Amino acid sequence: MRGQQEIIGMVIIVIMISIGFLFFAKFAIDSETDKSVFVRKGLAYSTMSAILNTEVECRTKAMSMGEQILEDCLIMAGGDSNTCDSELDACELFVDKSSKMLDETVLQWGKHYELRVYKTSVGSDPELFYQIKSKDCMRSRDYDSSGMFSLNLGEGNNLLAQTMLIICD
Amino acid sequence: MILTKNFRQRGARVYTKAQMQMMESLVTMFIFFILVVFGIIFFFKYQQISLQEQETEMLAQQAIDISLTALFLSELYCSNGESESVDNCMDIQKLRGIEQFIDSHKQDYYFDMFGYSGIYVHQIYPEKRNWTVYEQVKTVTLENGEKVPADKEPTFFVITLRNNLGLNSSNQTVYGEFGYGYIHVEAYS
Repeated sequence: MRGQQEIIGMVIIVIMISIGFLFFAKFAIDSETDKSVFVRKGLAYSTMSAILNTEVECRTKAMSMGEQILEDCLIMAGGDSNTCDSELDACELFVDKSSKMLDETVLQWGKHYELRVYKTSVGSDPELFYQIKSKDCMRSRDYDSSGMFSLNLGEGNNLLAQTMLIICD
Repeated sequence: MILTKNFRQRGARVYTKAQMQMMESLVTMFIFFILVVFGIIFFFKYQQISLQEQETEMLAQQAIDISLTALFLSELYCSNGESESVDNCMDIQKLRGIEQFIDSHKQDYYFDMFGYSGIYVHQIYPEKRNWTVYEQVKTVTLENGEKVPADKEPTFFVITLRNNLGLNSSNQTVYGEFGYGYIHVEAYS
């Protein structure tokens, strides 16, 4: 009887210590706050929107990163090999400018990014066209995306460009 | 009896069964109290860290609120006549004169809105430029009487900067209405 009582006592102590560890693990692992999620999500959205709205100076005119450079890149698969005297085609220019912009902001603030450009036509699945990244964000535990930004690639061709920025810690 | 006698002869101490049980209880209680003390230390340490985290979080929340207020400030955002304004955008033309204006109305209007904080706008593309929109630094006095800035929490948001005038900082013509930049807010505790 006494032996049984001691075993029961031991079991209770082990259970209590296990519960303590579970609580500790829960607080230690689940430390991400609503604030950091909000900041990442907001940052991803505003960054994607700003990149697409930015206009690149091109001799005596301006070319929008989204509606012109990205459109040229997706429709003509690069098009002019010397877009805006840059010795780069439209796709390379988009990648060059957007990666510089992301490096000087998101990356400098200690976060990583993954910018994806999809080409979609009606009735077919989106095809990943370009990917610029500082880290494989989808493998990270804490990441958020801007959501899809859609651009109509001209009339009549039923083509759509979709861009998405993923930001991770 | 023989064993006890032998022990006594060698000078060894012999405990009775009741003494053994009391010692066992004492050791158990000692270990139990050590565990309790460890638990209390762990709990207070955790509470301390948790309080510090909460303070940082509140400061960050304050910085986010200030960022959002600044983003939608009619003195700065990109209005479009009667049509919808441009998302996450600030007007460079407005930014040029805002610091002086805000400075002259800091105490009577803007301090209630932004409190102890700093709002800075930085342009990255097409050229690097900086503007200070608002700045009210909170200082704390150290034991040696030295005044230093209080703890602060920075928050960043990427924005588009509209240049309607088509002129850069050296008053040369630039082509491209929308530039790329960010707003940097520092909230003081």
